[in-house]
Amino acid sequence: MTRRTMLQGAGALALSLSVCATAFAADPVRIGLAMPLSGAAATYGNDGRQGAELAAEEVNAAGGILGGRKLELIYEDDKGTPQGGVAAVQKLMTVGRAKVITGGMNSSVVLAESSVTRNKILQVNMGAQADAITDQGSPFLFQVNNTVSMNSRAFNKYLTDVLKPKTAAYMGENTEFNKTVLEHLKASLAAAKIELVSVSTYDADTNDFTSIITKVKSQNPDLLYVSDAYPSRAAQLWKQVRQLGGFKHEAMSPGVVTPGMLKPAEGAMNGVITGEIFVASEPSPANQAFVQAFRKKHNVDPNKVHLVAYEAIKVIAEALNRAGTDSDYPKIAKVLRDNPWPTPRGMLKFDEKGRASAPYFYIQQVKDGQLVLLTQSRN
Amino acid sequence: MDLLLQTLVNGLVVGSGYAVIAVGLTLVFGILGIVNFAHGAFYALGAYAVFLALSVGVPYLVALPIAVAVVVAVGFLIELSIVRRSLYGVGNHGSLIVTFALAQVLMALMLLIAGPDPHPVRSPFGQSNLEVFGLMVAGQRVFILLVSVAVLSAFGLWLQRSVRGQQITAVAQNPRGALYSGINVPMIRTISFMLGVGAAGLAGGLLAPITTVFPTMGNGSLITSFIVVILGGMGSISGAMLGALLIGLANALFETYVSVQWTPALGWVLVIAILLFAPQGLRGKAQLDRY
Repeated sequence: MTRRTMLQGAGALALSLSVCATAFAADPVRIGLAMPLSGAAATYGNDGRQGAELAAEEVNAAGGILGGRKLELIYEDDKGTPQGGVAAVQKLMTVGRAKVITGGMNSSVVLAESSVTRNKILQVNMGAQADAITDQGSPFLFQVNNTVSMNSRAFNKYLTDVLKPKTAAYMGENTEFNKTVLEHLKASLAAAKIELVSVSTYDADTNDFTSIITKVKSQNPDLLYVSDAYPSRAAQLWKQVRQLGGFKHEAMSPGVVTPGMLKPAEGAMNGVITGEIFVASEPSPANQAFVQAFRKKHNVDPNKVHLVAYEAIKVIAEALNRAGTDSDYPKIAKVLRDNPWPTPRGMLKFDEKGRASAPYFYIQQVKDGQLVLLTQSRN
Repeated sequence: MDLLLQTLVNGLVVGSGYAVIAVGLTLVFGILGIVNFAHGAFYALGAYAVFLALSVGVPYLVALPIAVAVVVAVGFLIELSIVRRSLYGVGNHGSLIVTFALAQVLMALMLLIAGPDPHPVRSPFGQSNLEVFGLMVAGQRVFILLVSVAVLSAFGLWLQRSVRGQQITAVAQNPRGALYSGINVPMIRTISFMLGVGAAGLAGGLLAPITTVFPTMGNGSLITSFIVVILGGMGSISGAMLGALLIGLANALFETYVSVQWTPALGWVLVIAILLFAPQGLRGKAQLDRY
């Protein structure tokens, strides 16, 4: 190395440092969202984007955070696959210079991403539900949606105590989310002495279910339980169930049914029972304020995905603000764990593992292509 | 017994769906020597064309030929502007990269124009069921079976009997020889490419009502098509049909009687077995060393 190149290097370094220092106050806080914007789960990504945009708008309209800095949302497509998710998060962290990673709709995807973000950056998982994600005990990893075990406890109780099937059959994709759903279902059915006559786990590329459904039909179960968090495929599956004559009781894993699944199913999901942590009709003032604002901006009623995206951005903004920093992650994580956070659903508290739990759980049934509330329980 | 019969029927109707998708892939490879990774994107394009035509009030049976025409037109432009300039006679590596890039572009365009949400497509046979001797078959699947048999046999006859069809066969066997015999090879190639992607478009339009329409819907079908085509013999139309029915039946039987979880592996196991014992596939011709 010559003296000249050393001088040049030092000059460049000094220049970049001074640029950082002067740009700091005006710089927006960049929040990276890795979401499925294409592929079979894209409708979740689209909904998530709408919810996040509303939240960012509200925060910015109220003057931003950390002394007037605006929120800037940057999006990357995770394609609904673990490989896509890892690539998206890496790009957001490096090229995107994101201070926080959020997004996340599918469990296998977020699980893969969490190995990249672990101990490096704050990650707030909006939508993915598998317990395994937060079970690892990553210090900067938080989850807004309910976990599968929280949802299953309430939902399976309804299935075993109210529907009381004698036999049940399960169909679901071979992923982390569905695996956890199945484990809980097995335990609940065994406790209620209901026989699980068949378990069919299919691969991500499967698009024809007629043989599986034919086989399940031949065993004649009282209840068919389907678990699938990819709306286009789930819609297809239910259409084929309907074509082959359907079942006495039909249930879909809680927390995955949105209009993006109901619309392409074209009424094939009528009669299906599911569960959710949010309904737009909930009369509390905080919820109605959110629903009105959302309607005004997007002209539709918000669904659960809209809600968790909105909440995630709001909670992130508020937490950075209270911690007074956008990059001291231990401090932000402590603030997140120690305080309750007001959201449309009510006060959200994160536990030791970084999980929030919903105050309410709603059992719903599809009627005429719409979700109708059957009953609600308090957690 | 009922279960076995129903499973066989399922396998046959699903297999006929695979056949329509795979036949275009095998055609483009057999005649042009192009491994077309954009096949799945053309398939999705056909489905979108049907969806758009339906949404402006065109009935399904009219929308289907319109969709094929749209895909053929797009295929024509792409052949003229890209494929012709880069791919003929340069082996498989170039075609792999170019068609893969094409697929990404087409899917990104569909994503930009129509959005990522899955759309339902209605057909007059959509939610109806036929029940024959206690066996249930969805109406649309019977329609697919009939159309695929009709289209594929008509096409096979045309290739054998008509002058144009024989010219296509000649170009497939030896483009240089065909050129020396006075056949307009560039035109035949354009026609062949249009036929191949047109078949993909037809498949998309036919299968849209039993699946849903979204930009990446072709990815899964592309993989199945490759299995079918390798099994049947790259470039053989009758092989593609045979391979499709075989895969349809094998998958259905395996899913019903053995294991759902292992079914995706079955296709590839069959492919490996076939390649070990009959490397040219079921109906393919032994490959002459071209290089």
